Amino acid sequence: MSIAIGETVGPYQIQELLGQGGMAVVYKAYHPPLDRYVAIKVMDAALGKERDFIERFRREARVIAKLDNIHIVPVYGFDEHNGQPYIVLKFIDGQTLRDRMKASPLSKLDILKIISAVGDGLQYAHNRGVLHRDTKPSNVLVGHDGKVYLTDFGLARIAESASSLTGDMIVGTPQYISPEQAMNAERLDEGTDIYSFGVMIYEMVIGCLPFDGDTTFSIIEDHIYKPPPLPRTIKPDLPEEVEQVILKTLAKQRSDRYARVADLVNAFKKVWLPNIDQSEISSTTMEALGIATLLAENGKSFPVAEGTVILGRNSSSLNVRNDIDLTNLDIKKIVSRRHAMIQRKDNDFVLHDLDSRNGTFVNGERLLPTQPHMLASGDVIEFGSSGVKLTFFR
Amino acid sequence: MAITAKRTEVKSYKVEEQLESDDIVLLCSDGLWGVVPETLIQAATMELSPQVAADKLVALANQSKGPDNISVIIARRAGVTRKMTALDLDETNG
Repeated sequence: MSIAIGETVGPYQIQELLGQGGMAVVYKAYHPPLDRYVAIKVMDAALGKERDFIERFRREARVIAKLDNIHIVPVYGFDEHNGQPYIVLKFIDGQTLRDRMKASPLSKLDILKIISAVGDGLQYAHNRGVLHRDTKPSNVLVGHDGKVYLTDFGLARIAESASSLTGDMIVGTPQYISPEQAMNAERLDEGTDIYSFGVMIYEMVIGCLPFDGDTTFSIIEDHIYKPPPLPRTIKPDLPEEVEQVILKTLAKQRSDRYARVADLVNAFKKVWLPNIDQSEISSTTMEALGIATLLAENGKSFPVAEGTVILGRNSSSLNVRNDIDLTNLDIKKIVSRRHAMIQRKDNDFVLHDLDSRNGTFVNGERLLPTQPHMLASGDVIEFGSSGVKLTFFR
Repeated sequence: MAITAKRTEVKSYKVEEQLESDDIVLLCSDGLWGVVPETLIQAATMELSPQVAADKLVALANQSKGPDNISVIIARRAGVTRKMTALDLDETNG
């Protein structure tokens, strides 16, 4: 695995060594035709010599390359260089969450932002049948622009198939491994990522790992058999509700954990957000947090919760109570009592007009009651000629 | 060699393997095998001294309430304890 700085790999000029692991070396490289920097992950030379490895690698890389989510590092391509397979990724100018945590403690907002972003990336991949299998802080990148990305999807699976490197070893990182993965279970589901994500959340919130013995044996033994130290024994000021979310995520039995990553993230947000003054959170931060919100022109923001959200003008005499009440914004009293509805399913937000008297408009176009609109970040929703404008952020 | 009380016939199984330096041989009954995860058996034999590893594994098998008697013999050709390395995939992009 000897690629020198300055060497050319395919069309890429190798410029800098970014990191080295058991299976690959990552370089920063320059791509002259597109005048941009990329990250190149060059796999170990021994892998290229393994029977069928290149084909397995290509198959897996194609799956990973299809993941198109703002919180997953995009794959630009893959190829071979002198028999060494490599993947080309977007270059993220930033640091790993591991390094970020070493540098200084994370704020509550930082933690929420990272959990929202990583959760979004994982849920997106799970919806497409892809597991990460090695979720941990060194696989989370925090850009200097504040954006958070998950990287190395499926590489653990590629490594598992590489007998020359692994023999019968466990592939992954003992500190973050799920009990079922530590037991080499034949069939894994999203529960394994939920558990590893839970270890990461434990570390971010409590400040230490649940299990960190001197040997791999003791660490995986603890993951399989031992309950994690109760968070509130280490951090007594932690709300009990937060502890419960963390412990449910780290349940030994898959069936005792959250069913989906999105369920975990929503449960966490519910108990973590009350500790934060939401009026202090700007719409930009809300967007970065992955919290869907509607922002009015006067600066008031309305978080869009999971499920169905009804927007309209409340009336106590008519017993009309909406999830988002527009009474105070609607000076002209033009908004209907039950005007519009947003249905959230996973990461899709669909706006429906509820047969309102004066119509619902998105970016100036009237929405027909029979034609719902899939909201995108930045969409402006108007309610008839009321002058009430809400901008959607996610 | 397998002997059961009801059988008079004795069947022996023979495997020949050239042992190299640091190779470890583990003989165990099905009170351990299939009860304690293979990854733990492997990690214990590679990282701990043979006696400590055997004691740990028997304790784990007992804790797991295995269905059978538990016998474990571990032998190491050269008595060097080494750390098992889980394949660390850490690199960085950023």
